[in-house]
Amino acid sequence: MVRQAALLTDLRSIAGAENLRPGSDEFAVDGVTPQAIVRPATVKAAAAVIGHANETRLAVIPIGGKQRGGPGNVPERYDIALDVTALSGVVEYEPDDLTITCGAGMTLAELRKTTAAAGQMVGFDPEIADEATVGGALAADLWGPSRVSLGGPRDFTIGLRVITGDGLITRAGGRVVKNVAGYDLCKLYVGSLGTLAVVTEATFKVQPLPKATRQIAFTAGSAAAACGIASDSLMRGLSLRSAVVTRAEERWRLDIALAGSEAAVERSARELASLAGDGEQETGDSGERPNERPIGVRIAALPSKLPALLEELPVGASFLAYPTLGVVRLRLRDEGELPSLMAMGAIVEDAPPEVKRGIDVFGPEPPALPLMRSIKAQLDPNSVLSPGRFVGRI
Amino acid sequence: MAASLIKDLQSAIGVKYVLHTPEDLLVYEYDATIERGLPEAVVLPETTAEVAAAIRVAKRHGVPVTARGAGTGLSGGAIPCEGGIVLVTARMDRILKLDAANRLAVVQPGVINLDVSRAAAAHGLYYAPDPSSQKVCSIGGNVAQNAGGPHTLRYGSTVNHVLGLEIVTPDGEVVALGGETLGAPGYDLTGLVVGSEGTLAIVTAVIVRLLPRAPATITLLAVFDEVREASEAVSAIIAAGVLPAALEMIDKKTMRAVEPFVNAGYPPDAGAALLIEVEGLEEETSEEAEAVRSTCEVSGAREIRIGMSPEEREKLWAGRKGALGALGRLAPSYYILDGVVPRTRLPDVLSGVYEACERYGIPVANVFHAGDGNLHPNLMFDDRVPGASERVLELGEEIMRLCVDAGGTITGEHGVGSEKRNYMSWIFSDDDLAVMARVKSAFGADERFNPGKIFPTSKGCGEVSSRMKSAIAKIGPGAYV
Repeated sequence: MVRQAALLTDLRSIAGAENLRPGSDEFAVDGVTPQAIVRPATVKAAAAVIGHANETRLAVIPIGGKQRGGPGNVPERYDIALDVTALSGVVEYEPDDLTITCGAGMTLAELRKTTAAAGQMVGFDPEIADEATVGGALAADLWGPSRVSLGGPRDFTIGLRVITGDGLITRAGGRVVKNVAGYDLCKLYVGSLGTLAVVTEATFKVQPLPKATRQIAFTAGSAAAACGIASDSLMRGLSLRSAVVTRAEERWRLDIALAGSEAAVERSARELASLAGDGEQETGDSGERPNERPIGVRIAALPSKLPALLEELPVGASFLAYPTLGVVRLRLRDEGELPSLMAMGAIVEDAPPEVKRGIDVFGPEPPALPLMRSIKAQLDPNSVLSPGRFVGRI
Repeated sequence: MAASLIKDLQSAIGVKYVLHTPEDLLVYEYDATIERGLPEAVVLPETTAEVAAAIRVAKRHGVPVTARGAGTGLSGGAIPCEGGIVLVTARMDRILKLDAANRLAVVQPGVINLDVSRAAAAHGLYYAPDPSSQKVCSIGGNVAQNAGGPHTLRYGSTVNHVLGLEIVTPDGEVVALGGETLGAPGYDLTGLVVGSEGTLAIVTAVIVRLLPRAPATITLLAVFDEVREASEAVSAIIAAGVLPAALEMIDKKTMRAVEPFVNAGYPPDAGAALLIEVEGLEEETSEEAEAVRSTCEVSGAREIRIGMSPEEREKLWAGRKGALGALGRLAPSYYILDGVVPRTRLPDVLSGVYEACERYGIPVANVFHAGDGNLHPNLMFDDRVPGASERVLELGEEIMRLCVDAGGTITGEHGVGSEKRNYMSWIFSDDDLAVMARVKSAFGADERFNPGKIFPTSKGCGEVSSRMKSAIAKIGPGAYV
């Protein structure tokens, strides 16, 4: 506690008393509670907090909307929660430039609202929770089934302002849609789970909102049939926004979201109905309530191999499969099935701390791990940022 | 030059594929830019193992390695600034796998860009990045520079279409990055290596994403009296909620140069033309084409042509695609710039470009990716006139400043290379650049792969000084933009 008191005193002088609180479970990550919670009002103050942590060898975890305490390994250490939600707001938005720059603390709901007012959108998957922040969504590289049409965060993030592990405020990329000046460090930061740098500001490509959207669902007799319809619709150039395959008992279900002009959506719906053949058209939602199960895992496969993989899953399994991406997200009630799924290459996307503690949630070490470690050592030399949470316990 | 270096390279990859005589080396001292640099040896490996072996030899001898694709680069990326070994990927030209069901291909770096789309065509697929040099440029070079092209507007640059890479590190180790399936755990090193201009690793295989061909494509050519009207129409089209597949501008000088060769039917007195392509389902495409047409009319277009069939569309594109070759006939030398501005700043920046060129008395032709705000002013001059090259470089720098001052960047698709390394500090702080340098050292690449590129330095590239300044590329059929 003496240590905590000293830390709070230090942080008070750096970030201001009004932006500081003692640590609490609200900011716990995988059951580890920080000693202090700082909500810096400026990027400079945030950098000073990280700089202080770097000098004193403390661990900082950036926290956004607290939507997903989920991804990553249990942190090795966790002293300071760096709440980025005050670094919010639109920095620059010129709709005709098709770019927007905003603070990392902005929620996706605010981002959607801002761009929608100009008839535009950023390509974050509509399935990502509204309360998630820009910074959190980028750190976790959140994407969903719409990646097939919208791309992922790595595709539409064109500029970042970040703070490195030794407290440098630096920029990567820029504010124009096409830019090959220097290394594209945005790629490194997106999906780095706050282990290389803390994102404080992001610039995204935006695109026009579709004029029409529609949801349709079909049933199919097999995983192959359900996935086949999705793949055929993609090859035909139909207005596919996303495709999700689920299973209820013996029946397979394909949920398709369409987005485009009225006429294109209309035609796509018609062609889909004929592709589905005697597949019954469904109404209502799929009845899936994935969040009742505490463990989330993701398996990636070649799209052509996905149906076989889905057929192998136990009938009661709860999952969402993205046939055009070759990805399935499963929800599990307990860790019993984890070892066999991880042997198939599954990554644990979220799980209670007691489950995470026994495993590396990312599975076997990737071949490029030595390079990744040396990048970490360069950008966060004292392992200040989210230590232990990433691949290979980086 | 160390004879033992040649000998070691020969035993690593075979006598036949190591070039070292002065006359052989001369061919590899240039690309499509102003720079020159003579290597000590050129190697032409055929396999990943041979690449790794050559790199280990280079390491042992302490000489740098510069990778080279087709040599069509426009920023000096393939020039061995500090000599050493040029590693040519031309013999690594096999498509290793074409997996139509999963819409991907695995290719060696020497594969020609267009050959990927040709191979995929039978399956209704294609490789989207289409730099204008796509008939001759290689995928490895595209990856090194993160190449763009006219269709970047809708489909993105090379990095958006690369799923994974096989690389050889400066230590000669072969490492797989990314993969055929999505979401490989770890940092996105694939995305980092794409566009790193051969300074971090040598790429020996590329996993590319293939896209289904759109069911319908319509190309429109809108002719304007004034450049400003045309550049304002660019933003108006975006504001109308249309995101075309491509949105290109061709100015008066370019149209006049092209006309005698391609008979595109450009009116001789027109100020500029926009070439706009929309793609998608037939229904959507015709609606968008109509929106583009009426927007251009409102913006002052005096004539709009619409191409529906492949032949008609090809004809509309002919002027754009033949532009640089035609411009080459107007002057003995030329210098192509590559800058990007936010697209709403296009009208002002373009005026600034014409004004600056006028002031310098240097003719300029603009043919470029207007939808992305990606300018390509082509400065025309005669490098035999004393002082002409210096003035062109000075003007080029002024134009780059205009782009940066407008909130843009110094390169959208050609790369920094050696040409623009000293402009990097205009857009990045010392700390920004220091972080990039740290990433470079994480690869153990300090000055061992493609030295003298990207990072600002007071040193020149290769045999610089007077020779470099007078060596601005001659216009020829090998130049593209």
